[in-house]
Amino acid sequence: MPRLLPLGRLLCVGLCSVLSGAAQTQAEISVWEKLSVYQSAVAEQALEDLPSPENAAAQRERDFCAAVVHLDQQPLSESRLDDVEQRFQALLAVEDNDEIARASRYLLGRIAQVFRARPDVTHAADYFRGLAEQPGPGIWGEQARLKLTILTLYVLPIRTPAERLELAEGYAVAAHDPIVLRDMHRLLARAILFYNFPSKGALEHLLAADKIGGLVGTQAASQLVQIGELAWDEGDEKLAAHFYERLSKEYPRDPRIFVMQQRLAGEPTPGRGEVVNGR
Amino acid sequence: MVVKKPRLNMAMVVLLGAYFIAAFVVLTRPGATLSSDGRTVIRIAHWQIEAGPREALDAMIARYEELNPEVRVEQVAVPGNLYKQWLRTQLIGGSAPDIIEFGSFWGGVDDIPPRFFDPISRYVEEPNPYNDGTSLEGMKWRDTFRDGLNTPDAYIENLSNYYAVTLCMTSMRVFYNPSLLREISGSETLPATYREMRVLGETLRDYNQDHGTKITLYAGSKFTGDVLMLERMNSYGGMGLSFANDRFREQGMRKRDGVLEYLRGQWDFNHPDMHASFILMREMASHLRPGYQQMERDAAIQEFLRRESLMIFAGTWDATSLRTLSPFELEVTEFPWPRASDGELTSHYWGPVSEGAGTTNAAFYLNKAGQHKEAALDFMRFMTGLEGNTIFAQTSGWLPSVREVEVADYAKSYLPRFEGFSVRTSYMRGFGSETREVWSRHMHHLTSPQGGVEPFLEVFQQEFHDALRRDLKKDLRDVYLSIRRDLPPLTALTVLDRLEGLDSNRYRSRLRRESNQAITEAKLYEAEFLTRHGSAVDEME
Repeated sequence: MPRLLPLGRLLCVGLCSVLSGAAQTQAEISVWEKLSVYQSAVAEQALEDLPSPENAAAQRERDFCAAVVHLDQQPLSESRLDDVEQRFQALLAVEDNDEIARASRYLLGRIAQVFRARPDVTHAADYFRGLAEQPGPGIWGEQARLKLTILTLYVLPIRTPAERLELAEGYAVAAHDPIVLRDMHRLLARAILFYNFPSKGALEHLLAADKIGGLVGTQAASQLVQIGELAWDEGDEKLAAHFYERLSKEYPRDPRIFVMQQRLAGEPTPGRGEVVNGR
Repeated sequence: MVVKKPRLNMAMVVLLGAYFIAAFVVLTRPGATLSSDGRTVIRIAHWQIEAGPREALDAMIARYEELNPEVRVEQVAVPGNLYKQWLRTQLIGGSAPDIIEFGSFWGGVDDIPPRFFDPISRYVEEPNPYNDGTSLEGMKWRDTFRDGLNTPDAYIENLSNYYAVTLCMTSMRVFYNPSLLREISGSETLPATYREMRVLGETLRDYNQDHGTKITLYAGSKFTGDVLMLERMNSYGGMGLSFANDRFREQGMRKRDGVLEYLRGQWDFNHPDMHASFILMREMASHLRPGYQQMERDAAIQEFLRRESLMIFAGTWDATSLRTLSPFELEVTEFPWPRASDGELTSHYWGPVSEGAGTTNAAFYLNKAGQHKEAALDFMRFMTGLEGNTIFAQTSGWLPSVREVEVADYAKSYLPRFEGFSVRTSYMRGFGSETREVWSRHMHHLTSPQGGVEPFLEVFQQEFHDALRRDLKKDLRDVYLSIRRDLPPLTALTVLDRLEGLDSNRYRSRLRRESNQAITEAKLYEAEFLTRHGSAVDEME
């Protein structure tokens, strides 16, 4: 029994610490909620009003939150970006692969890629590659793989479009998250069409994306149209009709159904040019 | 001096008296601070000052107050040209009405919904109690709308929430004067084909010559000219060209795809389809009065009502004004746009053309700072319930937004045509403000009697290419801004799921936006790639 007392104390301390941490993160939730609906100025004010963190874990949460809030303020100057980068680097110096660290690495990549007046995509790709290759908590590794795929397809210094596609296909093979994989298929299909490669490859990628599913709204309707049109261009009229049937069932108010109805009725419709490998 | 002083004092007394009387009237209105009327007062603001909507709102309000005697509703109608500035001032000053019409199409107002409006997602998922006892009873509020509230102003994708309910639908129609038509052509019915419309134009010329009149075929203003020629005649004529360059298999080029295919050298304004549509535009311009580009929309309405033109191409939002003000019986129909069978110059026109998915318009939002939000929400439910929306449609003459609301016989011709080919490229107005400015500046080279297609193209094409690049640059800058703006909110959604546990709505919203962003970024980099490499991209392996 006496042996159990220290254990009980330890449990109590642990529980208090967890509860205190939870209370701390509860406080930050209101700030994150403001940020999630684009209320950056209100979020900054809410952050200032929070009580001081009570332990190192809570301080780390607070510092990460403060860095993201700071990134969201105006004016978005280079010196602000330098400051935000320093905040993320400081978080990495303490721990470099917990969820906050991985989020920080991802955001550092995004700052280099899209926030800087002169984007540094090679630097951004290094952050994304590091996250994609090192396992760790959170969604950040898979999101980084998606961004790396985009940069590979269009921006990084790679000799030919064929090589770009080959490298990007490799990233898709390594993807774990089905939604990220679906989006990679969609990106690969788009790049095949952009670089004017035979459209059959694009059709295969979009069919793979469709198999994974989960798209909604305009994107989903457009993907059904794209598959239908690619199948039509490939001469697979049965497949084209099937996807247009789905379009009319799932998105009955999409006016693009009309073109396929005209085709099936043997009426003339506009055609795609040879220059885009059309029919 | 001796004489002036008492006059000044008298003026001050009169002014002060007027001020106090006005203040007394304002402060003692029912529901105001010093009023003894204990009713809750809610205010609804809008810019629909055309004939119809104000009267319709009055009728809806009267019925609502009958059902809810403890509430008083006031409408605040502000002209469209002042509305945006007025609204921002009211919102910032904290004195904005409880229910507010708002449109994201104004541009530069994305900050307003999250700052000033309350999301109504959880309410639109519940049935609208004002539909109890009707065929819409028990149906989710959003499903009672003709488009399921699937319009960017009702559901704001970036904010992952429903924010507004809509009141009506609109379309563009031709309103014509049948008695004048009979006088000129011997028939009271407008031609059903563009070939016949061209013949009517010639008949009208002969009539004017014989009778010494100056009646035009189409009432003219900058608005009607732009809508007839740029948004219709030219865009419809470019449908085949748009489809031919449909690289991404979406049934035509969207805005930026059109820019990129131009930079890639896949199309230009010398294309035979464009050339033919320019000739038809020039022909059309000759049927508008001289100087139409300097005229406002109202001037075209006056021209039509004065029997100085045979028809006017207008939005159905003007229909009730036209019907009310017209001294003659008027008819409404769809304009017979060119089809391949219409002969010379029309072989590349496809038809019929779809007028879209029939989305609903006139979006009304709930003011976050309103003092009577429950009452305001209740009135929003009423105006979009079966009874309320029926009152609106019947009194205003506009198309309803709510399913099952009967469309009056005369308004059936306003219903947007769903079946038809989709127009996805606006060659003249769709690429941005720089190219639009070049077009506006040089349009007279095409449309004036001394001008022509060749003189127009000579000056237009010299400037178009650089203007297009400037438009693209601005477009890409906006994309960067949008991606930057979205990063903290997307990060916040991820963190909230970590701290609070997975929320399925939040999770789905994030996935949807991240997927959209991936494609947006791909498009951004495609544009940058083509800006660097131009048509050389087609030589790459």
